[in-house]
Amino acid sequence: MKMSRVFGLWLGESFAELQELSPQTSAIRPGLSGLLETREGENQSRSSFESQAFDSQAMLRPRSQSRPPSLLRKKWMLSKKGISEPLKDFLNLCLSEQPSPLMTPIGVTPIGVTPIGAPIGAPTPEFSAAARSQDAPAAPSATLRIVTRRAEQTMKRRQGQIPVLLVTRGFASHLFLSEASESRDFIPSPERMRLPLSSDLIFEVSERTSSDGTVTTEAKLEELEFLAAKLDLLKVRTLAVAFLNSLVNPESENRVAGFFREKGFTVVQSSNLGPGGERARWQRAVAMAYAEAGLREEKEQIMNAVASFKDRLAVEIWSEDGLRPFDRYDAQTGWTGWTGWRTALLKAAQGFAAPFVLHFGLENFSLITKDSGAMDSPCDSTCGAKPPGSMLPLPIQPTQQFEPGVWPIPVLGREDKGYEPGPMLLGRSHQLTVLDILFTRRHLNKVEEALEFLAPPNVERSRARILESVFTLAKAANGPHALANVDADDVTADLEQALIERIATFLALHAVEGDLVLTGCLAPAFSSLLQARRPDLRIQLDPEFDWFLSCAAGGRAVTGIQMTERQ
Amino acid sequence: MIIPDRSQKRAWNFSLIRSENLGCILETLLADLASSALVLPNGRTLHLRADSPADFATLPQAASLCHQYLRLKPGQFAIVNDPYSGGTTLSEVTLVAGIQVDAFDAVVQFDAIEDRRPKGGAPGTPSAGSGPRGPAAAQSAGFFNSSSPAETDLLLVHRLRFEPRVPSGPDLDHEGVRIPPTPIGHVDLDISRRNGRQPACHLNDALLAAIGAHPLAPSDFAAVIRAAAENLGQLIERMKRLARDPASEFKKVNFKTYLSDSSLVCQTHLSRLPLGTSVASRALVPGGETIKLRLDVNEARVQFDFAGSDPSNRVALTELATFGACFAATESLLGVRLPMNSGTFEHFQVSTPAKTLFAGRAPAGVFTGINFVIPDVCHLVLTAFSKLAGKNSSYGLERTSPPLAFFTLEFEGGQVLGGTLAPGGNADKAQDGLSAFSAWGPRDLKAPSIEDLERVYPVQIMSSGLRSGAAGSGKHKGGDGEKKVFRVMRPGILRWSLGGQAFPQDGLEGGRAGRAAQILVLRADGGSTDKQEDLTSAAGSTSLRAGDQIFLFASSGGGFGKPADDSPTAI
Repeated sequence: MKMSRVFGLWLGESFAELQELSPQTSAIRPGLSGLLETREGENQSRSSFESQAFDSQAMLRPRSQSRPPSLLRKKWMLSKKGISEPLKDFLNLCLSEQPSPLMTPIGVTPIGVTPIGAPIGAPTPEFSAAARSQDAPAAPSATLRIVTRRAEQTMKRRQGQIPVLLVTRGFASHLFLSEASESRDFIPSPERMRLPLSSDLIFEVSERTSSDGTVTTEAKLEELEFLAAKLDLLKVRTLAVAFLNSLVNPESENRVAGFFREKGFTVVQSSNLGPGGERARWQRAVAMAYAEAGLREEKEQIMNAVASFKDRLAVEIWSEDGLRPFDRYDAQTGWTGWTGWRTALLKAAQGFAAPFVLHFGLENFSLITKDSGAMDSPCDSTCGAKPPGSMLPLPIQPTQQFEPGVWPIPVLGREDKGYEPGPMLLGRSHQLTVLDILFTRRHLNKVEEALEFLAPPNVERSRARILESVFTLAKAANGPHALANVDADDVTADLEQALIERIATFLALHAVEGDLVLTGCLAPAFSSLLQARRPDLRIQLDPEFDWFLSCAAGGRAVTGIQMTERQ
Repeated sequence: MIIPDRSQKRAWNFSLIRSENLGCILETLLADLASSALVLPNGRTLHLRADSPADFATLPQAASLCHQYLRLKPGQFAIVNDPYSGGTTLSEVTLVAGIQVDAFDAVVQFDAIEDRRPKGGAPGTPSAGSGPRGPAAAQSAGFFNSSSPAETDLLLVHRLRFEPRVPSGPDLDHEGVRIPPTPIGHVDLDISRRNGRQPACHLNDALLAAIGAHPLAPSDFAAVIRAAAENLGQLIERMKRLARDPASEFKKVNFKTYLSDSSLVCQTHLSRLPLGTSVASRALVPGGETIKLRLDVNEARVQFDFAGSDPSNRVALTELATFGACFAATESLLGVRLPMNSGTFEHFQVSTPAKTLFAGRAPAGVFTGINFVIPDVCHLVLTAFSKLAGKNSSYGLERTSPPLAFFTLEFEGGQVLGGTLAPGGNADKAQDGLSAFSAWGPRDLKAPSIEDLERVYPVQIMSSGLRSGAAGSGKHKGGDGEKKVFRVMRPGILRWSLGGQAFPQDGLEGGRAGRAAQILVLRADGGSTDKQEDLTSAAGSTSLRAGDQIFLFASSGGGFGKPADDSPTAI
């Protein structure tokens, strides 16, 4: 019988965390359990280490009775050295045993990749063919899959580096025209959203491609040499190349990008980021180049960590269109569009009979609809296509903030605050979020694992702080009404109702009727509330939600790493 | 507003929460339509999303008049762009649809209507089973005198902005094709007949084609209207789903409470405005007409009276558009998004005496009024509030910019490329002026992609971006205006209308003035002796030959404070 184990490593802002991910593969080797216990024991003596309870018996329970997230948990505090050390530890932990004879057949080639969320162990026909073949390549014994939001976070937190932009002559300031106003209201003194772009770092190139694709002016080598020297002086290594009509004919862009790549620059080309008009494409190129600079360090650390396991490990990255080899880890793979975790969630949703899935992950609430018809993907044959279906964000998100509004009650703001410093229940923030309301209304008690994951030990102290904040916010929102005796409990009850009302409206607008599956680690918090509001729905909780996806689709994790070991 | 008892207060709060929920629902419904409204048949606005100040009162009026004239049944569509029937400029076409909120299933049965028509009707009359074929046919087909029991209880309005077109003459007929409230078809909302497909739109294609064939009609008129109608059909379908949810607040019975709660909320926010009366006046640029405003603010109402303003043969504005400008300017002062409905609007009263430029009547053109005078009105309102509040309150008046300028390229063969030029804003004591931005212009002006323009029109775009070196220097620099450079590949005519951008923007506190807008044409004279023409007038036209290059420069903002380098060349 073929077995596999899946581990997850979350590389967050300040710590890394290991978790057991696949309790369904319950026949787990006791040796490894022992090993983990020993290691935890060893590390516990160090001040930089935190460990959680390890329940080796629970690992042998059937899946329905298991409590996956707390089975196996280990934390590393991240030092200044970054993620390299925890990742090495993690790999040692997972790969330290001698491979069993059963380990070889699956994972021979990248063809054998199994989508996250689907049962692991069934080889694809392509794999079987490859395995039968006499000249099957030497196999890595395990696969390391990375799912990341690093690029998105880099943009959100402005942690990247302003890139150089090379544009067609005459269009140096064209992108500044498309910066939208921050407010859609009429205000006499508007402010603008800013692209990560500096007019000092925009250079025009004398090239032109006409709208029919004819290159009418070619970029001259001397001009490029001069620019390269200039960039060396500026000490910039990342650049975006954005030429007009490059989607019709990318020749000119390719030539210039190739020139700079040869000189060791990291180059993002707008023609690779279509479709769309030049504005959208150029903006994407600038944003990618900006995020790329923020990713570089993390990529290097991962490469260092996996270097010594090179022969035994296939490393892949969940990209916008499926799994790709690690060398394709760039800003685009972790972008806000069809990023890896979204792809993985869609694949997981295909396993449900219900036409609609509501995902309540730690950082993302979405409605997943299972549209028919697979989407096109450039890497269908090797790494699995982007699954069919669509994913719509719900109008409430877990870390969305409440604020005073025009009505004399607190209202949900537009911004999703994320987990740094996180909701108030984490103890470090003053921003009242959706999760805080769920927590004060005791709905998070229904999701013990999530609470364990989210809340600090002195969680009751957070409760008092949250209620105080609700009171203050309600008073502020009342403003000119100056209502005395605002009752924080009443307000939290009202806010809870408003949250459910938002979801109900969203479901009605999207024709969600009949069967509905709730998945994600926070799903239990919503099931009874939603059922009370929409008694016509046949709501099912997914008892086997993929904790990895719940966290990768959210949580404090910036980068998640899934380790699949084949037996 | 004193609510002494806790249970009373709780009940009151609960009512507000329900109203806030309904407000969120309405906001969600119109979230994807930049300029749109939901209007009750009696003309009261339930919710509105304005994209320009003129939208606030004109959208409800367009809906109300279409319903009044055409008795729209649920699912029926009408269009209008006549500025004297709820429209704005003629390049903006408003689509109105009838909706029934509480009994969505009982939509009008169009097959039944068609069956009532006489068999073997006159030529041009649609036969049974086919769609209507023309305006007369639509009327005879019973679109608007049906005896169906289904009654419209809500009107959905959506305004479409086509490429702006600089008028070739002073009156309305030169500004575009004028469309009075006109029936154009219906959407079939009967799910059982659709077999799971999207709601089908049955539009009067012949009528749309006839309007689209007018030489002054916007390009792609019929296709854009059809796409918009289909979009609205889907939105009506979504509303239908929402209304079926028994616990949803989206019910006709809740609308009245929502409007009265909105009124209360608006009143509490109005109490933050300075109370009293003030008078302000301003000379229009260009033209020199004087507009006067008497502002009267009390706890429950803000009144704007434009008595004493000059009449004008040159510029006209409608009363509804003036209301929008007053409301937008006041809302900008409050800094909150008031509930956008009649509960709020009823606290604002605008008086535009006859014989002033604010009470335009057909056939006076409105292009100049809507595009260039509304920002002046907003500015005047802010000035009046600023006077009322005292000398330390400027309400951001220094940091203004003139309105958008317009240009049109009309090519031989009928293609028309219209566009705008965004000015740079003035700097103020805190910061530099904003580049290429007009504070009171439409928010949803999606600048077309250069690649698309080059593909569709006989032009090559040589440059697009910010006009450098023209902003006024100062401690804080003025914002840069927009620049565009075209080479035309076919002969044609360039028309432009610069409005206030034809004049330099003064600097403040020693800051230097920014440069005025400028239009240059580099004539392709056989390729060897190109000559440059500087076209200095605020509005005009010139003919173009293939190969001519046009340089369009928007005005740039004035600086604030003395520049560090105070030499004359510091501009």
